Amino acid sequence: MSGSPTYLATIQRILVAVDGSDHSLAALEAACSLAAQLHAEIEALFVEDDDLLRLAELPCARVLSTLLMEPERTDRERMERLLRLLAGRAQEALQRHSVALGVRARFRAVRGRVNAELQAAAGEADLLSLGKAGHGQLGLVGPGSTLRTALDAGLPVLVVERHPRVGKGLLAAYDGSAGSARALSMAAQIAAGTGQELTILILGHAAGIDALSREALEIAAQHGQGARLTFSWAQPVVAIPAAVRRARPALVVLGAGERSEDRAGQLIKVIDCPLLVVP
Amino acid sequence: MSARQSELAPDQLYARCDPAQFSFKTTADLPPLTEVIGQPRAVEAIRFGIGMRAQGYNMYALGPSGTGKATTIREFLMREAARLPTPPDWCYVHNFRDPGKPLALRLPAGKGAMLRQDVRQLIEELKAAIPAAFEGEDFEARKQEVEQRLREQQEQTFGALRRRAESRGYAMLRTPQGIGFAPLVNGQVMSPEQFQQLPQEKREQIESDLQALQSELETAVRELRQAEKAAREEVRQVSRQVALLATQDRLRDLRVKYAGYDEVLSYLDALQDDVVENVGDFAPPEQAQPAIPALALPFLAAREAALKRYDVNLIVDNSVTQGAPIVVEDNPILQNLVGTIEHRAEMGALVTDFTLIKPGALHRANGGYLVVDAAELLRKPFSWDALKRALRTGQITIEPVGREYSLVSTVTLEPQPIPLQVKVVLLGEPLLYYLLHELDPDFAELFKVQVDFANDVEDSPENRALYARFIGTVARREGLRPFAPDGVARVIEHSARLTEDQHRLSVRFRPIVDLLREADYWAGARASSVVHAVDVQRAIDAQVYRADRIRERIQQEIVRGTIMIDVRGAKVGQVNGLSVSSLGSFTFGRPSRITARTRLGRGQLVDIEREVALGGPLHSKGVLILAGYLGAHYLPEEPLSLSASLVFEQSYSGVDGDSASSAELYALLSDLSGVPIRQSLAVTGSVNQKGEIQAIGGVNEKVEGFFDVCSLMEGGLTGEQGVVIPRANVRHLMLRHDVVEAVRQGRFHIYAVATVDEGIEVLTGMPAGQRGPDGRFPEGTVNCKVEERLRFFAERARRQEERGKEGQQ
Repeated sequence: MSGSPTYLATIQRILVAVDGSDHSLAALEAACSLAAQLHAEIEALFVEDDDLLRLAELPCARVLSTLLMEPERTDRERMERLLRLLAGRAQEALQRHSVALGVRARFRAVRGRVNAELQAAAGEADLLSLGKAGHGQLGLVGPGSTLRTALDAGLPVLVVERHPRVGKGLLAAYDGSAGSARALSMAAQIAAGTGQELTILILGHAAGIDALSREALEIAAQHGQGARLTFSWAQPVVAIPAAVRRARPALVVLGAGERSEDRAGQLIKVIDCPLLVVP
Repeated sequence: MSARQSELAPDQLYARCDPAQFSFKTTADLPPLTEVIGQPRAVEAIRFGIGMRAQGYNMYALGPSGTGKATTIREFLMREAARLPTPPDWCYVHNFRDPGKPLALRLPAGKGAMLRQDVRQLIEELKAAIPAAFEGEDFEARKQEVEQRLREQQEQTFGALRRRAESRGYAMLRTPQGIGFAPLVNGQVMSPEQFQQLPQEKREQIESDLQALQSELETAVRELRQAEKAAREEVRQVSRQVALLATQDRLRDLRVKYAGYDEVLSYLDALQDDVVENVGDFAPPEQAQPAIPALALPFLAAREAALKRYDVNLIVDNSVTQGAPIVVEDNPILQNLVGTIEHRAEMGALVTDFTLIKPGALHRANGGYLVVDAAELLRKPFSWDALKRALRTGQITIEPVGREYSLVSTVTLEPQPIPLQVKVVLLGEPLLYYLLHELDPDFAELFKVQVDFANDVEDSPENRALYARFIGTVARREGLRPFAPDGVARVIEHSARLTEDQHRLSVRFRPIVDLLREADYWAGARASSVVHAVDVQRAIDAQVYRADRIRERIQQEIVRGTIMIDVRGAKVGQVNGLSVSSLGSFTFGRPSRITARTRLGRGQLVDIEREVALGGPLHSKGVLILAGYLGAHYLPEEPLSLSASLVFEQSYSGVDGDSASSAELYALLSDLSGVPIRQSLAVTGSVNQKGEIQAIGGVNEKVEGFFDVCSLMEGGLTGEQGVVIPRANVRHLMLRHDVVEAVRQGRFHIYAVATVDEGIEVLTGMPAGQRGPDGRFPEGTVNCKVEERLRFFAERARRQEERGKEGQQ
């Protein structure tokens, strides 16, 4: 695989937050695949959440089983066993994917608070890969807090759902903002590095379309990458999912923009292919 | 009667067919034969069988092989079938309500293929139309709206619950088990130690709060599950509507096209419902594929397999059939007769579906005629029962044998039975017909029409003319040279020989057609463009030569003296009998020495053949008749005080038939009378108790057999030799030309006798003698000598008996 030196210099280390859920394992697989294309290395981090262990020790604590729909007692021993089980599942998945794809990888399990440990580990990473949601069927909690933490730390975040749609090429949205420019730049780098096609969705009013298109093509060209353009006047939360349905890309790259977690959070929920959010 | 009076003239030995009676130059001049020769009874029965529409009037054509049963039946059926309407097509389709019981659809001829094509095209269109309908912005937006609403509801519900918990100082946490609540201290979950240090009241308060939060959570989760279910149902409902719209449009045309065919319309309705319910099967492959590439191929195959249920299995396609079908099933195994359900191996298991239903001959013949060889049918396991069941019930039910006998426990189908309206014609030997009639009570009910094919036909000028046309027709059909009148005449003569009757012609045409082909070959060998009598004769001779190795060997052994036969001189108690041997299709006659020995006894006639179990029942019957003849003909008032033994000398295998009984009687009379029998003669014929000579079979072969032996013996034919045959057999004589010629030249003789007296006169040259008014036979006659000898035996026996009584006293 041919890769851009600029890009290789940009993403060398991908941090994957794994909790053993199907979503996080999908994120691990996508991260390994991307790492293989970019010659990057993988670090999978499993955090044994302090809060969960404390909860398990409390005599008054109850957990509502989302499987059985009834309250269950818990204790520290059981919680530790479950966490070990999930860590083992994640480690086994990492081993499988990294060997299959020839990616350098390491697995690390730590005990602490999730956001704090991720923040600490993110300092050495160029990209963070997350599952779309955690355990359970209810989609209770998205990657909101972790995503916010990572984006605030200036780290691009790859969000992947349990059964991502299989597609081809990259799709980046460009609306003239600094955030979308950074996202387009990264998309162009990845496309150039992996030899994939790039489609740019120009978001804006008719009057500014030409200028935005020129800008977008210039940004792509800086990385030696051509692009196909599509246009939409609709709001991003409508236009981007529609473009995704039409283009069926393998990866969508978006700028986080202001109040990044709001827009990204909304799009994460409706886009069913891997999504890279660039701060 | 003297020997001269009994002797037959040469023209009595052969019924010549005069070529001059034919006016054609060759058979090429003759019109083709369209009628059936000599089968008026069979033809009448066929017409009746075809015309009778009532149930059970199926036909059994019985007759020896080669009588043209199949050809005649087929020609009649073809004529009738052309006038009948073309039967409908039949299809099997998936039963959406009960997949184990595929449905049978009946459509007019040609429409079955059309329906199959239409449904295939419909499914191909739906494969594109349904995904297109679901990929549209509208459906996606509608689906997302529902999903978004659900998500918002989830977020609101959990968000509110989390906020309520946090406001009271509790955290809501997602754990590997589920969702839990825990009290917070400084933004962290309280440790157990901290909890234990709290006052009792506070701890109880926390527990109470947690209980309340837990209840709220349960309620919330339950409501969300309901909402999720409702959302799923809403999406499914929308999906159904979208799929229905996409399907309805395309089915509209089909419904118009097949209006009037209620079964098809019902099927299309069920198909539409199934498509709408299983719209996921129409998802494009790239959407439906699993993430793991290795599973993609099986997955695609499974998807195609799922769509196979919309296929139409056209099992009877009459689109190119004109009139009613005529199906000749040469291999009537069960599967070929009533169809079968095939299986395919899938992941180590045998599976099946309605597309694997294969039709049988009954399906193809439905609405027409099915012709099957009866012997073949009975030889194949289960076929006869299956055919009877189909005819009795009036429907074709495909039922695997394995299930009936619990041999196979794999999943199979119960296809809907198809109504059957067929006329079955069985072809077979007469014996089989009579056995079936006797042993199978269903047979008479199901095969009411007996089509009896005759072996032969009267030798009349009309039939000879038809024979000539038949020869011409075969020559034309098979590309043979035309036959000249002399060739035709020789074939007709040979035909009479095959019937063993000067006044009948054979209608077993298979050997005749073989002869025509072979005669054509020999005509070609001598570069003749027309087949003449010489070619026919050459063909006959060649047939005999190819088959007569064993006969030649036996004749050689007789000439060499290994098998002892005298053809000269005269001997007491010894006569040349004649027997017939069959080796395959070749039959030949040969002489056998029969000897008799007599002495005083108690009236026993010992048949040595029977004693050693070499004699069959008919032979034993013939010997026993002799005792009856002797008892009644000589000294009727005296007990028969005779002990006699009779034997076929040098016989090493079984002897049956009573055709040697007259020869045995002559040997017996010779031994009793002491009058020698001419060894230059051979005898055949059976005898009854009254001394009448009765007809026997194989007379031509027997005469020729003795003629050949005499010719081959040292010195050849002496002019004394000949054969004594029953007078009743004279009409059966169709002797070889060389035999007839030898008789004409006085070198060989054929005598026909009607009684034992006539026979013994020919054989001994001594008068038999008729009983005079005094009740005695004249002196110097055979009968007189026999009676004297028997009287002597009787007196000796009486004296012995008296001495025995005196001794006892």
